[in-house]
Amino acid sequence: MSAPAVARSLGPTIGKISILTLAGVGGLALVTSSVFATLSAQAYNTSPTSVTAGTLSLIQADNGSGFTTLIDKMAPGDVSYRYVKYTNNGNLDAQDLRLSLADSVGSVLTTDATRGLSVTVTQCSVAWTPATGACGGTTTAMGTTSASTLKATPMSLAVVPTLPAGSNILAGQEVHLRFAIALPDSTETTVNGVLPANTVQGKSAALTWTLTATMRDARTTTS
Amino acid sequence: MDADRDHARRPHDDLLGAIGIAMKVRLHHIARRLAAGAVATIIVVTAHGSAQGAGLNASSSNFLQLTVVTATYRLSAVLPAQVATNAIGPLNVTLNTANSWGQLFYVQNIGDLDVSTFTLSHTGPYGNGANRVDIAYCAGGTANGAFLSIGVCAGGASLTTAVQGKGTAVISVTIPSGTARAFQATTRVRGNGQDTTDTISVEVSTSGVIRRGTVSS
Repeated sequence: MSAPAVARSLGPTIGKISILTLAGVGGLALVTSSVFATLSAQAYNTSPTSVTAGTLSLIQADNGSGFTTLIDKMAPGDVSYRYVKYTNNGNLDAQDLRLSLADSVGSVLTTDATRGLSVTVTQCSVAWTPATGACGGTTTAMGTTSASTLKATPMSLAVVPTLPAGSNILAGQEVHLRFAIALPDSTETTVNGVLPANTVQGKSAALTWTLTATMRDARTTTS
Repeated sequence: MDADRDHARRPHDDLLGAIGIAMKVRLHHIARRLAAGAVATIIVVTAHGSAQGAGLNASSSNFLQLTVVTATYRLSAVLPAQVATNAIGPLNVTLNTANSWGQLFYVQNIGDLDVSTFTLSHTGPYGNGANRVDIAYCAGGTANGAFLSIGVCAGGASLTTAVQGKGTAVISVTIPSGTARAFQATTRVRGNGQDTTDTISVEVSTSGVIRRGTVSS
């Protein structure tokens, strides 16, 4: 047979083989795909669910003579009032108010629990009147402690209101506090201008007052 | 062309797109929560490890420290040339012919508080006999206790003996902070006195200073 004749006789054969091969591959593919094929469905909200974390914020501000007003020439037996307003500026109620104190100087005024400074905190239900020291509302004693103790152990302030339980400084609420800072009465004698040893005279303190609050109790809500 | 691209989208493209949107929404909310958390973090100090479990704490401190300074109450006796100095220590007063056995000295208040009562002590070689040394000051009058000269008060004040001979006396005379009050030391018999050197000491206690008490501001 001539070459062209051979080509003509092989052409149909090759074509058949190709068709069969393709059919086989296709069948295999169909079988394979039928094994792994599945249906799925998903649903999601087209309007997103908004979740906003609450904020907890305390702001401290002087009310007249506050923490920025110097207490000078204090003698044993003297008491100076300082008036401070705290505002819960967050949107979460808070609780468990604790007052702590730091002194960057560190003298007998804040290291001696007996002869050093003492602090008495009183709450007024409305703003204090610093000029007269008057409270036009209801006063509530928060407690008394020494500056020495306050440096080591924060003082718990049970400010009013105490309800609802677990929230005693509500979001937006103002707490009006008066700090009575006293140098306890004691007797010292200065001879010929020389101060006695271990004196409370001529001492200084630089006080930082920190009020800490904890968020209200965590809640599980159904709606 | 846009229609061709839409037509070319495969069915799962919609699903991927939906997942993408959902992820964006979640990321958006996560970002918002993180942002809210960041705001809270500025004011929230730590997670609270109380019995109630972890939570948020907020705290507030005074940016400017409250400065508290205590006063001093100090008196010292000095010679006239030492007034307005912060000289401290006991004062030795020499009485002899050079000063005609009489010497002015001052009790000066070098503390922060006004003094209303103090103790003056006088010691010397002689007792209360003929050679004694007396301490006196000018009371009343209009010259704040000033002397015109030894034994002579200014402003109509009267000479008042505080300590006769050796001894101690509590003197109720107000000496404002930063001022001085004049005193004199003289021998009993001036002009024919016995030379002597005596020592003057002054003490002030807490009860002798004028305190503020309770102040509301």
